[in-house]
Amino acid sequence: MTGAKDRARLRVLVVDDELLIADYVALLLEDAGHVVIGPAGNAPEALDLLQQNTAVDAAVLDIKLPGRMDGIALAGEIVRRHGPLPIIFASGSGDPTTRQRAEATAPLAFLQKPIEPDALLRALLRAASRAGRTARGDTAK
Amino acid sequence: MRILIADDDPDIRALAVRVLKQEFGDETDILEIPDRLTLDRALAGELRSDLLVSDYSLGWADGFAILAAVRAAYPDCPAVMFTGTGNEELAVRALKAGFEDYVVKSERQLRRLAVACRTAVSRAAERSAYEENRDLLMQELYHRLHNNLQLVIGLMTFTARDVADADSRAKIEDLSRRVRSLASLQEQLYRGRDWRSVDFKAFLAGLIDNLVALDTRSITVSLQLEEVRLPVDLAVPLSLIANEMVTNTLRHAFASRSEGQLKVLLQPRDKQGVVLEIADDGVGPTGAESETPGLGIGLVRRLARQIGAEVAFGRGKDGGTRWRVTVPA
Repeated sequence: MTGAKDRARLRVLVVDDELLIADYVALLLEDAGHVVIGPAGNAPEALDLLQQNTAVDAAVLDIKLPGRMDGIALAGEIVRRHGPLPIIFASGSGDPTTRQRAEATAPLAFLQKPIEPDALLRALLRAASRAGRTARGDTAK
Repeated sequence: MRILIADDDPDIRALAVRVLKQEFGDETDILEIPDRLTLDRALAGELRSDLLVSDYSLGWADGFAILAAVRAAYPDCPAVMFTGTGNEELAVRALKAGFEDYVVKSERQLRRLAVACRTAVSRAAERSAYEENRDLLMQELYHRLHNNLQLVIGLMTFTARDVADADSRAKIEDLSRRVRSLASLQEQLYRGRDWRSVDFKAFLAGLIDNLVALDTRSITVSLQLEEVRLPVDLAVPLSLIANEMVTNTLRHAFASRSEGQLKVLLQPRDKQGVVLEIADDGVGPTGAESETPGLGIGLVRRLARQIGAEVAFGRGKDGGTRWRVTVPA
């Protein structure tokens, strides 16, 4: 675990169509000192949010989303529009082909729901070190 | 559709080809297998096989070996034994080995060969449709279960937020940990694709990793875990016991220290038996076990009783507390 002083404050997009689960993820992130963008309940909403908030450091995406674009397709679209972004997939599906499809996009992590809070925060720390933001000195509340 | 016909006799192969083209249509791809090389090539290719018709006694193999080779490449490929050398005993052996049917080579039996092959193919198609449906159903159930567990955990977290009293909040967090531990066992079960037993070693390693990660102190973990697969009705209570023991240890053993050691041992015993031991280098047992407060201990006792396990609690070698759960064979 990390102490507050070496925590990085990241701006994280959260997408999940189950709003209570999205709120739960948001709560875990905010508790760890991160800033939540969203949550969005589907892919178009997520893309709109990204349009308005260009400074996003990572995204936590549910895979099964309503509409034509699922979380994996959304990840592809985000990269196409905005360039590389560290992605964490959170999935309730145990389907191995879904997992393979997700892993093929080289995400930061693939988390099985129910999400282990620490696995989520550890994955975000990797995003922070990738982005070189840990040295920024931002501390948690 | 592709059919393999393994027989040494070119006339018999030609006869079978004729009968099967009549039954399945002229466009059916029928591959004659007169020798091992042709068989190996047929199985190495990209094309799948939908039916095997094989003689029993060939110069280069027997029908059972051919079936085994075909099934190694196409596990679901149905097969019919078509032989002149057989008897009742061979017929029984063939059915036991996984041939769908057994047809004796004779002019009168040619019609039966066609029917046997048709039945074998449609049964295989039914089986595969059934399995596909079952897999879809399992995926759907799994998804719902995990999403709902996630919701439950989320709701518990929100509830804990709403509670001012620290002790009550801690109790809700304990509850959330118990549910997470059950969810993680469930995932292990699903991943193993074997609905009767679960890889308890992998589950335990993950559980300890998760619980220790939540601890802000520096906890050194030493795992001595052997391969143990447990039936589900044993794994569920034992997973909860493990969760309680590790949570309890992390809560009480290291008191005001900033570091500690946790040792976990998992060993199979005889057939179904298992030993689970959790030891620490902390303050050690402070009194009789019954004096240790908390619902956790009560749960451990109750669950141990359910699976007929013995629970021993005392001072370990390192001076700390040692829990030992022995599930008899």
